[in-house]
Amino acid sequence: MSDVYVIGTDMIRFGRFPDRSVEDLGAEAALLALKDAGLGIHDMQALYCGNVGEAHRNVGQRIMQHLGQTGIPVVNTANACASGATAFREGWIGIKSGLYDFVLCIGVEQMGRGLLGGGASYGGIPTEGLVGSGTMPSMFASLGMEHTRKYGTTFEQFAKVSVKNHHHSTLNEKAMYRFETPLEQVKEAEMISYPLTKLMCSVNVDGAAAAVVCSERKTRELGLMQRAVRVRASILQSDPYTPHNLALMHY
Amino acid sequence: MSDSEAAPPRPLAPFVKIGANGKPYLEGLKCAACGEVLAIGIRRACPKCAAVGMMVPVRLAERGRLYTYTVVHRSFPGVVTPFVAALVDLDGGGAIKGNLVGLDSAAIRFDMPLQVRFETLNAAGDAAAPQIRHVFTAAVD
Repeated sequence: MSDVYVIGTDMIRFGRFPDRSVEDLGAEAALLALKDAGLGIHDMQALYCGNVGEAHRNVGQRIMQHLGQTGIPVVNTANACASGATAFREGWIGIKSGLYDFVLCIGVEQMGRGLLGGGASYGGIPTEGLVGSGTMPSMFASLGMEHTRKYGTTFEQFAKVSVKNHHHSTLNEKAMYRFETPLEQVKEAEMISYPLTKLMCSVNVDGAAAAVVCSERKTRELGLMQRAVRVRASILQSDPYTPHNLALMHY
Repeated sequence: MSDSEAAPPRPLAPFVKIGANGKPYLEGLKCAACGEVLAIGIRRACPKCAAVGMMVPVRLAERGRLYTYTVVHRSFPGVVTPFVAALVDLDGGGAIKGNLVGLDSAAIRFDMPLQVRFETLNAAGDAAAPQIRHVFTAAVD
């Protein structure tokens, strides 16, 4: 089996782009990554594209229309928040197995606005607020409270994670929001679902990123070892059974 | 002449059943191979041990303990907040979600004993087509 290297990668500026198509966002990221690698779409032997919002509408193939339709195999991956990571993993497998030397891996999403999740209903009646909650913030808040139950984690400790995350955004010129959030500001923001305030919830955003993944042999041949990053491992898991697993996501 | 009668209330969760006597109760499934009790209607194979064709219906307890929860302050338009969304371990097996009502959120404790109550609702704005939901309250011993 071959060692696997990332020889080019980039992302677009994240933001809200309702007037752009998802394939245009993905193609922009792909072209940036290809440029970073010093290669073109003709060099790629397969494309893996992670997307959920249009998972059944061949986003990868539509991106190829904006890159050059070379006819390479395209696989679209939909694995919830791990969709892009799964696209990368499938590319990694293609190289590791020796099947390919060069693959292009893309992740792209347009999130729209507003609260995610919910929509639970039974017998045609929406049950949000009547029988628990199905919103994403309430689900993650419940999981956070499980952490509190097990380890005594406090509201302030959860809030400090946001302070750290927002600080990191100031180091990335392509992040959508780039500002520091002092701890008191995080704690005093609107409470969405305890212990998560608004500043502790993910923002809906449109974005895309891509990576050119390469075999060890070709990385050496191209003289790219100095800049290449080796992929040492990739792990994917589905949710193993727990008594609460079936209840928390649905009922 | 009789007034038009309301239809029998329709449950708002798949594990809430209405008995022949009109009384609501909770029903789940138990795996005859490993003994795991589920509140969710998965029938073909057991999600815990993978035994095939061993799931049998079982009545669930109407008491349990609070496993985790959150106080929901913001939800979709029209949803009344705040409310407490709880995940409860029922005595004897089965875990279900529902609202925890009748107590201040400051009084909530992990593992507190809870009991299930059933309520008739008019969630669709049609008194002739009511629903029935389960809620959790602090257990009265």
